[in-house]
Amino acid sequence: MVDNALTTMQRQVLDRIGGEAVFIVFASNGVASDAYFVSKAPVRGFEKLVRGKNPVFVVNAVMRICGICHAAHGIASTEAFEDAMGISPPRNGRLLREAIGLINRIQSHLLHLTLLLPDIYPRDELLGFTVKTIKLYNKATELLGILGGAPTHPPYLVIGGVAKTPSDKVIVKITDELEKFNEEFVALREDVERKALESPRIKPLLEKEYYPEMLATHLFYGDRFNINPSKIRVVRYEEYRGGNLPKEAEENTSMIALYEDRIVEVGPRARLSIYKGFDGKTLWDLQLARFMEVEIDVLQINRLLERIDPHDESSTKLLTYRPGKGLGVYEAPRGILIHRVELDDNGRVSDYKIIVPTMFNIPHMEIGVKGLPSSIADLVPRIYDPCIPCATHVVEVDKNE
Amino acid sequence: MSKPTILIYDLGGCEGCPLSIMRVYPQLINIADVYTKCLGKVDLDREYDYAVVTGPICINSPKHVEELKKIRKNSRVLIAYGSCASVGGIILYARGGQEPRPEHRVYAPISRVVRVDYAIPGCPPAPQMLISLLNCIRRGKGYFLDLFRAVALNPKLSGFDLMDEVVLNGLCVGCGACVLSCPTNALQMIDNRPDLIPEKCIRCGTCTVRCPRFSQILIQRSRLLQKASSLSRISGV
Amino acid sequence: MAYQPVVIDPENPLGYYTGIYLAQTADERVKRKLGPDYKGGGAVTSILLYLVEHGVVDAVVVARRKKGLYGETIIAKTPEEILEATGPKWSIVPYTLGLREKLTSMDVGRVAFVGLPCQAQFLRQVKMFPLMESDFSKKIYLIISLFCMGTFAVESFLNYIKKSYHVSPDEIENISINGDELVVKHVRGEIRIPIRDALFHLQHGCLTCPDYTGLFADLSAGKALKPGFTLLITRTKLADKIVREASNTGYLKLSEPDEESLKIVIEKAREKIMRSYKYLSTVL
Repeated sequence: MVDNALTTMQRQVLDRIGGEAVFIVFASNGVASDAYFVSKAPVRGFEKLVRGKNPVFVVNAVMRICGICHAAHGIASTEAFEDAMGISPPRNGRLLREAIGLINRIQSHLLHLTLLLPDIYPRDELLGFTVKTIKLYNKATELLGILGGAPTHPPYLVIGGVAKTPSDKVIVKITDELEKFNEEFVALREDVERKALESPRIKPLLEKEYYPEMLATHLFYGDRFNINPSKIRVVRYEEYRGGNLPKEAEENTSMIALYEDRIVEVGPRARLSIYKGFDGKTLWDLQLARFMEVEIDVLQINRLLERIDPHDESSTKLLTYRPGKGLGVYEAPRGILIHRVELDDNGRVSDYKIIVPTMFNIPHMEIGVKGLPSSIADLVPRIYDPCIPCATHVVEVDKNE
Repeated sequence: MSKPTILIYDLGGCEGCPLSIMRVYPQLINIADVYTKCLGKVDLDREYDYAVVTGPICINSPKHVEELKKIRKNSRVLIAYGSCASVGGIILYARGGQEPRPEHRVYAPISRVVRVDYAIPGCPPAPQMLISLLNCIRRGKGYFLDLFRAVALNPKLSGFDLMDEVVLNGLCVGCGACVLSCPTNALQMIDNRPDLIPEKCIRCGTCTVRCPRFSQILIQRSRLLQKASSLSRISGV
Repeated sequence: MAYQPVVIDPENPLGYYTGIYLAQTADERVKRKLGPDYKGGGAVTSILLYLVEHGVVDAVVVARRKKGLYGETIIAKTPEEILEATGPKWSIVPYTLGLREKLTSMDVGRVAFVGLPCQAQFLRQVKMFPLMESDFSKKIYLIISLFCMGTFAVESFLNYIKKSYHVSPDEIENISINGDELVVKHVRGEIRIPIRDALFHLQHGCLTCPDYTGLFADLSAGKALKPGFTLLITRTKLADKIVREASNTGYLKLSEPDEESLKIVIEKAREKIMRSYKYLSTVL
């Protein structure tokens, strides 16, 4: 923080993001020189909340950490429990789970687009496009209702697989719907991309290059063998920033996650960079990556559905209640999501840890904004799509791990 | 006549409820002027006809308590929307002690802090719910409005309470409404009576307001409560 | 939504309604199925046949008696299935998880539901105030409630018949009501049980229920005092239209309600409200 006469401080309550946060930006002559991203949502403490509970309860509980990436939490959690119990879902269950996760990802990306539209479209066109995007979002939402049992917090995600196998008819219906969805989405995407080029607020993002180290474990699902969780360190915000913080930043309700003590970017761009050779370097490329993901995810869902056998079970009905440790790594819409569980002698949860993608990405929002006009500073967090409900429910991972 | 104004505000829940509301945004804008953080800035200092509050209130967060009080003061009708805001839901299990804010210990339905006009359980309620509710409030009476008002006065509602008040009390007739009202399939019919699978109940309260018996008990009980409170006002207690 | 809010009021025990009719089936199949001794009017079955055969709804959800007092909920799509479910019900047939699954996976758009007042209340709430995203609100087209003074606790009642009359549950073929008596037909003959004696076996929960006619339904139906007739109460424009159409297309014969039938139903409805107040006050 530079303290001289030219430096101004701007405190902005962020709207149009998932959750409650304040962005404090220091600027010299209207150009951002430093920033602090401060989560304001209260800490609900899900890791503490689930201690002593039955795993079945915990999956339902952690899905309610977040109303945006509910399925992602459900999947990471079921993976962790299965790992701890030494069971694994049948083929159908794996395929369905991946499909449910991807629909959730599409849902999330479309929701984010809705939040972003006011930065792209002029006032007179905004309402029409917002309604259009929401309608498309509703389509994805309906699909999750069919495959997952509900559009929010899908109850079919259970330990051991997915509770219900869709019938032939349902699979055909979803495939048809996806095709229609894709047509509409491609049209919308083209329009948004074109309009973005004209938007004075988006323009600086198109030009600003910011491309930190990327981290991802899988293109579609998540792979616990592609990451070493012991290299992740979760620290308090003050500890990460150090030095002289603005008073409000000390009240931050989110933590920061580091990989091998370095900051890394996770999320759509990281996944595409690592597994698809995507090399967009600008901040706007974060959004383009999201668009690309929706399209390849639709294809992947179709591939997954094709392989489902409607006459086969989708879950192993056998849960083993025993002591154990488990790890679930999943590529949530916003990036790497990690659930770790320890079960006691009765198979109940004795310890639970969650690391969410927003904890990795907060540093980039603060660094990425440097050099941009402070008038559009709020766009940088928004383009990174933070998820505060998730980020405020994490606990410090033991330092000796 | 100009459209009524409606504020949609999340106090620190999972955001599932405001997002479910967003799905009916295309319809909602036809009947109200909508103010939500999802689509732009909101101003808590201005007055609203309706305020729809989602998420639980963290008793240990003065900022959120202040905000809630301000919303109450500035709104004509306050609606606690979704399980966390109306009955507490999953977050009642919170026990605090978590980094980085271990002092955030106790969460409660918002009716524990301010007067609430209508409380709607559901995790989350289906999008259409809000539209129906606003239409009904305009008409001003009816069993279901009484019911949602009663929930605001008596927020202790969950699958466990359904069991205690109705099933174990011998009042259940076995209609099956509750099993069709559980988002986690925590209720099953055994010998024509619902039975709770305790580890699946997330305390969303949906089954209780769907139960014909419990809903009636709630309404009658809230009448007694209101009578008692008006009596105590008269006698200056 | 053109729906009148429900107010439960002993001064106005029938609640809001648009019309009251005395109805009698005009459908030969229903008459044949019910037989000459049947004292009801068969109007509900006839209306359901009209709804399905004229494509107004894709399916109806009704309770069918399996054996004795036991029943099951079925989703009927054909006239045959509907006819099979006709007749009075003596116990409540619970809605179960299977119902939602079937409704959501089956290719049905509009569904008519026949249930008891408590189930009508549930369905109305699902339709108007969907508290769950997985609610089948859009599929609920018409809610029909049967008049209900209370339902039997099945095991208790069956045991009573067995002990007092030596008729085992498997032997029961049919139960009907005749004046102050329940007539239980069984394989070896029939027995007559004073209603007073049977009341002991009502479910406790029913004693706190204030709804006799089904105030939350679109259409309420129950036996009229006049033998061979059904009393229909329409509560919405939609129900009114359906009843008239069923009559115009030859499924039903409609007439003005007689004063006695009307008086009785009002009396019973008021009685049930007062009874519920009495019992409810003990559990608050």
